[in-house]
Amino acid sequence: MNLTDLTIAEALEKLKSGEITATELTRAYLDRIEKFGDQLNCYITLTPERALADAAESDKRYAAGNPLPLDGIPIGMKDLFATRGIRTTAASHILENFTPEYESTVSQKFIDAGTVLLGKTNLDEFAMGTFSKTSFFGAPISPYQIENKLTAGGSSGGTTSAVASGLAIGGTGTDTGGSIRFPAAITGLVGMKPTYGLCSRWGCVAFASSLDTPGPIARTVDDAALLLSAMAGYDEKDSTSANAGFYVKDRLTQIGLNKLKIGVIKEFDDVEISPDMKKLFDERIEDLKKSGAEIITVSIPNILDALAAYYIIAPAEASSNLARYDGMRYGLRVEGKDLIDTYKKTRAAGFGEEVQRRMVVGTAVLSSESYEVYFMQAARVRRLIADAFNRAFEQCDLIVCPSSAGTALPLDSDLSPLEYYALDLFTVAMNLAGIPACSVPCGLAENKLPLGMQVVGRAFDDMRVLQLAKHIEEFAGLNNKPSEIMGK
Amino acid sequence: MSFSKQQLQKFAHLIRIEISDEKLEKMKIDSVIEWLDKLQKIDTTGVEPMLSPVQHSLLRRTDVVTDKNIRDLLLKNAPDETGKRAGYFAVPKVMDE
Repeated sequence: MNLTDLTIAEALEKLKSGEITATELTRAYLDRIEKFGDQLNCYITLTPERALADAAESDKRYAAGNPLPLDGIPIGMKDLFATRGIRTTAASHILENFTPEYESTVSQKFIDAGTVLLGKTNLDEFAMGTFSKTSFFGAPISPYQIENKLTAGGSSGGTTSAVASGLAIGGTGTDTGGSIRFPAAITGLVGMKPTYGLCSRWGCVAFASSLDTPGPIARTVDDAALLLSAMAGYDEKDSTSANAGFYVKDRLTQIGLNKLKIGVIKEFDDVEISPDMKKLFDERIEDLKKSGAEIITVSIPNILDALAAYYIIAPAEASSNLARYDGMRYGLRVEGKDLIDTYKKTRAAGFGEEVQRRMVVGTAVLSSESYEVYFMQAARVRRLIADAFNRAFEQCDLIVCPSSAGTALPLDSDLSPLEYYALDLFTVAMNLAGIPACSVPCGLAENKLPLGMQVVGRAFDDMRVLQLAKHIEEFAGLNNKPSEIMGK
Repeated sequence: MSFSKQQLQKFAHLIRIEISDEKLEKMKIDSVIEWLDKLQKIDTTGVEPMLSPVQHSLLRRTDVVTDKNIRDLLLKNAPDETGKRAGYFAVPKVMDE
């Protein structure tokens, strides 16, 4: 039995029955990390001692007959979640040596659920990017066709690289404009952006506070649901946290497809996507129809403007959020000739180019001469998009759409900033509206690389989003066993 | 809208980042801003701006201290070692003699 090919649901069964121990499972992951970790560059910081200690505690609980919900499950934590006593970098030079003295709510909930922490996964600097190559620590890569050095996506690309390659059984991401769904889609994984407010942002390094959404990344929809069950819930430390929960015991219950009304977004028809994406999306729609679902067309009139609205709102919020990195109380400090010069030198040395670009853009759109023209106009377009989704959900139960235009590109693709931003086209609108969306594998393209499609629901309908995603997962039947993807 | 080199330098100053003119140019800020202009054509008359997806009203709690005596924890990541040993954050001088 190849332990690192197990899903979370399978591993939990074997742990409960005593067939395997948490320590054996953890060692299997640590061994595989030893073999492939450097090549994939999916972890910024490894925590093998912590992992073995977590696993030992877990085994004690199994032996005593009172295991926790995810006891002994070895996960990777995006290095944006503060972990007490473990370096938390946000993949930035400015936080390269930052070790928090507090634990983020999400990572604490995973501790409370009994998981084993393997390490902190790589990402784009401050989660700004789509290839994870703005990371100060270099980019992770996809385990698919590894000799071609393809991107594992971004910004949660360290977690997708780790989970797809069997260097973690599942993990966390954060999704501000697609940072869970895009990387999951191009690495054959399930990536769930829950409803805004379902998972606490407390202790998660802030990028754009009205958009940032922590969520799970896993190999199956059931696994994503199990991870989300651990992460979700009200948190008094986050004022935007909702009084809502999410809970699945072992596996998701089935949702009947008969008479389920599923919307397809008309405006996305005009977007150029790869023939593979179109073919696989149409095939899955046919599968849904054959199973009795009713497919209708819905309109979100301004959805193609969501990208520009997003690239105003997110940089604006980021330019304000990142003001805290001033080199005075923590993080990098580069001495200058006076206080202002120290700030400027610290931030010039500490932030990478993309982060600097977004902060300049964010400051420009917030400046007195352009605040109304850009920022407030973007906030109004955001309202139009959110309202249009609400109207669409009066006609249908759930919406489906592609997750990306095509398969993973080589890491060294030379794209302009705007070309990178365009990769978020299918994902940003759901962040603006704050609604749940799950990317689920919909099949393999001609080039043998995976593609994903999204299931989108109304706010707090996360359960049905995952239930429909599970049907699509079954129709697609993608094999994402790490040992077979990597051939070893 | 387009911004002059001086305006972009002003923004860089406001966010306290030293950026050379060459680097600012290389960042292609203008091409990004120009692309954002496409939103101007959308009629949003009478539309309430949406600043957050949160629909609940914010909860209140009693204004009481919830943590204390954590000075040393707060200082652990301080970049200036001398200040840290003395129990405070040491920062560059901000007042003239």
